[in-house]
Amino acid sequence: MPFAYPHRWPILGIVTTLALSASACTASGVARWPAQASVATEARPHSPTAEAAHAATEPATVVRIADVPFFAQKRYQCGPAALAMALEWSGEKVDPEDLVASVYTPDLHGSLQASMIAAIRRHGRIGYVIDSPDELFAELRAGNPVIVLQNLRFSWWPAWHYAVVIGYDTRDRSVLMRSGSDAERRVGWRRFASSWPPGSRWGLVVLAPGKLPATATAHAYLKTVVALERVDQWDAAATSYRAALQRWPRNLAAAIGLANAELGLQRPVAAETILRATVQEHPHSAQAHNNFAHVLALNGKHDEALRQARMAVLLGGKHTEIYRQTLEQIEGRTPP
Amino acid sequence: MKRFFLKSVVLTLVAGLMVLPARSAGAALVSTGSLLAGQSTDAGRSRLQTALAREDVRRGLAAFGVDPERADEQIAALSDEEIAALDGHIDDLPAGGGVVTAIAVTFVVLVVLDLLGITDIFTFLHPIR
Repeated sequence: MPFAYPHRWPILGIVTTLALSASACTASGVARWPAQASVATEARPHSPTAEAAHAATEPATVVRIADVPFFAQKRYQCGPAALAMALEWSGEKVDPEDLVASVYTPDLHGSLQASMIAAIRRHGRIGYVIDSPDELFAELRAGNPVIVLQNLRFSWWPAWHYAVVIGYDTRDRSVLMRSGSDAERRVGWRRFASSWPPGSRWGLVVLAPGKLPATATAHAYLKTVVALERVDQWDAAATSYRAALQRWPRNLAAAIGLANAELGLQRPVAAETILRATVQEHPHSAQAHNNFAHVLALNGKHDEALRQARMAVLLGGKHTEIYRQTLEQIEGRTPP
Repeated sequence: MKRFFLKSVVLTLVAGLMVLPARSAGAALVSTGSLLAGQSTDAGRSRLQTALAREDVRRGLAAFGVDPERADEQIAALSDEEIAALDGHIDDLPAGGGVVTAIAVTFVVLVVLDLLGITDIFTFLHPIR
């Protein structure tokens, strides 16, 4: 029995501490990828679609997003460094040191993905998550750098590292990254793909409000914008909803979101204009009629508000209690 | 299953919170968040109902002794919270039309029905209700 040894707990403790302390941002000081096939136990995954597409159908493509600033990471602080690069590229000037407090977790010697996204929201930026090579290439082609979380070691003993992908080259099948202490690190696709395997892929596109990720789908994008509402970033939310509505004009959530954001910005007249168009576009949406009624009442248009509130109650649905509440509130007021 | 139970409780609480009206914009406003959550559960419900509407899936269910009509009624009666709790499993529903897909879809539907306590086919699955 290997652990019958009486001092096993301190030894286990030391081993665990060593393992954990070495588990984040180990690229600091490591300028090259491990030479041996350290992930040879599993087949090196790569995206057949991406490779085939580039090899067969497209002429040589070289993408390089040159205006991404470079911040060399300090020990264990690849998260703040990567975040600072992406945020500053998106137009929000930051110092990695400022991000360390909110993003870096000393206990884990690293930055959690959730805290990265939360920090992005606090700066009024959109953080859109992607998880496939196709999306990665599409974003890069559209000129958007991507923060990636890589595992630079083994699946059973991971070494997590954040870097920013700023380009790729189909001639030598490589990706170009700002990583660790390297402003320009060129990595072969196979090596990169084995550090970004299916099941643990995480990529983040950081954009100014109003700019849509190239691979954005309506529902996923709107979910990131809603999160801006929760931290009272109404201006960023409004700009983002407006862009979403432009891209997906029939999307109900984008329209409701924009109106709610205008209300958050204390602009009920603007909200009324938006909702007037929304009920025309979505005549069967009880939510649209309800919110329209609410805003009309705010703006003193009592009769119209009453009609809209009754319409919402009539249409019914999920939020019937809210619609009745709106109707009661409006009925309770004396008409001017 | 304990993990699943915990997850379903958390999801139920989260779904319950979604119904609360928006902050700072008035008490009787439908918030964007609750609208989006509703659209999510609507999409999940419709995916499940579409799977149940397939002839080959209905035959598969019947082979397991499940009455497809009754399954239809039960799925239609599911609350938003229950759909949200099942969301991961609904996502497992494969798309496409082959025989293999029909078997896979039937399996996922049976798992869902078992988790809802409508059927009791798999002894290792315990209902979430």
